[in-house]
Amino acid sequence: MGEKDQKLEGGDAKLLIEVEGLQLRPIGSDEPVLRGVDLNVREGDFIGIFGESGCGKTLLCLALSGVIPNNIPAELKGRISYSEELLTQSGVLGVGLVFQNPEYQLLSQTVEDEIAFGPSNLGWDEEDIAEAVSWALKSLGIEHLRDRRIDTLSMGEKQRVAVASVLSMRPKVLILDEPTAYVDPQGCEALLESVRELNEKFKIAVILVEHDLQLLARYARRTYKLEDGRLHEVDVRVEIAKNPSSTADFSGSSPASGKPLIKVENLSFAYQGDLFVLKDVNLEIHQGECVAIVGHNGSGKTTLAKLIMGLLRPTEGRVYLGSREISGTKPEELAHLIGYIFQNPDHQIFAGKVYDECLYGPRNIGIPESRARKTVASLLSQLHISHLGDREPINLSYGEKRRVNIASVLAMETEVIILDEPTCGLDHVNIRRLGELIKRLNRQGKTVIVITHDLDFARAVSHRIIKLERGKIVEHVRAKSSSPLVRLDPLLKLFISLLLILTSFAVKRVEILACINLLLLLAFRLGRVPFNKIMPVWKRFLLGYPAMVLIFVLSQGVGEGLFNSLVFILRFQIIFLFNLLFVYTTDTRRLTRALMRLKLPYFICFMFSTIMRMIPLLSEEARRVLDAQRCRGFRVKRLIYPRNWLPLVLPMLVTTLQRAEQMAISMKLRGFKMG
Amino acid sequence: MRLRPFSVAELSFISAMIAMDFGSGFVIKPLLGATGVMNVIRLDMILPMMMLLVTRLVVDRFGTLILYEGVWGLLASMALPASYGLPGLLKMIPAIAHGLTLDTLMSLFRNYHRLRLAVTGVVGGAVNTLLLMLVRIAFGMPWSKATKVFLGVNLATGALVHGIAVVLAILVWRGIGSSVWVKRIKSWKAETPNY
Repeated sequence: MGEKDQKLEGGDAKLLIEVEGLQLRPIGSDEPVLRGVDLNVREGDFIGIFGESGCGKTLLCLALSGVIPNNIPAELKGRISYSEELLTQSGVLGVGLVFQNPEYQLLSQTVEDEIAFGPSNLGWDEEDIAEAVSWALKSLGIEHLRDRRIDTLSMGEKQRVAVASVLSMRPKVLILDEPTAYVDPQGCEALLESVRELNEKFKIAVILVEHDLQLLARYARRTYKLEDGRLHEVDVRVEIAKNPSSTADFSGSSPASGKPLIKVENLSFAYQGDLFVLKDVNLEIHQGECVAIVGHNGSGKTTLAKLIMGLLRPTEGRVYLGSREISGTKPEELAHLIGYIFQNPDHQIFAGKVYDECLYGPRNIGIPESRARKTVASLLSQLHISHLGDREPINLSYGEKRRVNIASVLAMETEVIILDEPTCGLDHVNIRRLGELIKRLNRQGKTVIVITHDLDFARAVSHRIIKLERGKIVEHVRAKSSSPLVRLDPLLKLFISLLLILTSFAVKRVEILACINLLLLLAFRLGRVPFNKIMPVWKRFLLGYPAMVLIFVLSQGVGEGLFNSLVFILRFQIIFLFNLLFVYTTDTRRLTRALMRLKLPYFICFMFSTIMRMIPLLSEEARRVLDAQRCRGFRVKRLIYPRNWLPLVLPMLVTTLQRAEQMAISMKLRGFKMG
Repeated sequence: MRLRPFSVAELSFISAMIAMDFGSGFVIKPLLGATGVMNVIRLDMILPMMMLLVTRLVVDRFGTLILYEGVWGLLASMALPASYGLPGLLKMIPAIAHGLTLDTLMSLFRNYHRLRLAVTGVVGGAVNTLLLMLVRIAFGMPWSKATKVFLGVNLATGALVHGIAVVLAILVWRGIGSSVWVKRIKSWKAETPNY
């Protein structure tokens, strides 16, 4: 420990948080998870904390930030005391907390609004808010992102915005709970370098909770291991020496041989138009080989895996499994051949017991019950979760759920196994165990594809590493339009909408209604809304019109029926076209602000804004849940029976509950009040 | 009597459920559409109804579903041109009425989960169909004629869909009702912090 470090740890630096004998039993747990934690946090500290999955690291973060027990109740003994400097007049503690997944901590639609959210809640005046926003942006080196929409940022950028949004409230303590879990190595380095600068320049105390011991060794001045519910101060370099790598080194084992099992030929994929995520990818993977696919966030790693699994249809090119072409084959038809382990275990967990969860896939693809049970028991044992067999999977820790998730897919005994970011949320012991399991699978002749941004893990487990570079930026940025319709006040548009509705119902003359229709179509040109965007929605209604004509003719006779049906269709068109025009030419941020001008209660406007941001995120989560279950043999046609909705609905709801809590914590820590 | 305000966690949860309601619709509807079953029965209505019921079970207080439906209606009036068969902000009327009906029904038989879900689902579904028809007629919507013709069929299929939603809500509640996540949202405290 250097001289500087000793000084920081010594009496000169102000004591900010003092934890003495903290015991904490959260809801749903029979025993305390923390059993006597002692910790002093001083100004300028950089503390590292690590420990096995489920040991209580996140609980400790929530307790240090005051969320437990002030918002989330828990049985708490011992003492946490805060220095007066941390207690603000607004009642918000000067402790910032950033979680591993930035998605659900970001509540606004643009970067600037997001960073201003906390200071605004604290009631700062405009000038101070602007200054705080500029300072936070500059401190994190993200000034260039100020006007960007949150949904156009990469994961690394989002995580830095999450830190900036906490920083703008000028906290004295910054807690980072596995902030690098979803960020690629470059993004991770940029983030932690900025944090180190803040720590050194402004003496902000930092508590970094991290699985990666190398990162802790590089950044933290004091390191603690959370074990048996207590913090033990350790020399992280000694810990690294005990575990030379967080993964086992398997390079050179089980060489690949024979004909390629998977062959990818000139594969290209574009989600939209000519925005190619993958372009002309050629790849051969042999039986028994372990191939790691690495690259930055957004480089197309997961897309490539999804194309192999049949979750996406290639725009160009082909995928072969053995001699069979599988491009475009449904994932449920490939479920007995390829197993896909998704990044987020919550996307597939739904059963009441771990054991049943693991049997779901094998049952779907028709593996005999006795064999499936034997395999599941063996896998649970290999992954050291046999003791969890009868537990409810949704109540397990993230790392435990991750292992259940891996066991449930491996139990399907597929020839090919794809693991998407398998180390995410696992501590080094479990990463090592996972590495050993992959090695065993390779020895059994299984082909493994690992998608990861953890280069160390990739080097350790794979025979070959394939690096995907982001050929093109895969951000979908809505084109800024200078169209007058886009600039029009959303409230005025709402008023016009109401006027049009009333007019269309007051008027029964076909020529006037037709004229309004024409004007609206012209407005689409004016608003620069491409017709190919509205056609898919419009087509559905166009198909329904003949039925309406028939109903009118049958009920009113030919003459009157035809006339009335024409009036009906023209009226309907007016409402429908204007609504579409409104959706495509109105920015949600401007709409939220317009609603605030209507003097609607603040919390309703806030809900509106949050929902608009969350719809695409939760829609994506719902899709992942569906993909995860299809890869385990779930068939859509079974949805006719309500019981079969459960594998889809339960994970969706659990995800929603978790996201809601994360959002609530983020809102609370940033001073949100219901007034 | 002054009603307790929603806690931040309750508000976040209701927002997240509304977002999931919209979000899952984008995923489930095309799937069901491909099976052809939607030509016979609106199975896509199961999920939103089940979500309403589960939302009320998690945030078990009068007003939850009025808020849910009110915000949903506000969003739908801008983003879903054809929902409820009513244009623009007019959707808010049946949406809030639906929320009010369900909230009232869910306030009955509080100690009997299955019974309250069944009553809310079936009675609420029927009331909703009738309410919607009344609103359409009251506003002179041209398709109110078609609504009247199909009222019987609508009532029957509506009851079936709501019945399935109730069964699903019971199964879902069995799965998550005692989970840590639900307990934590329910017990989230809103008092002034005590540091």
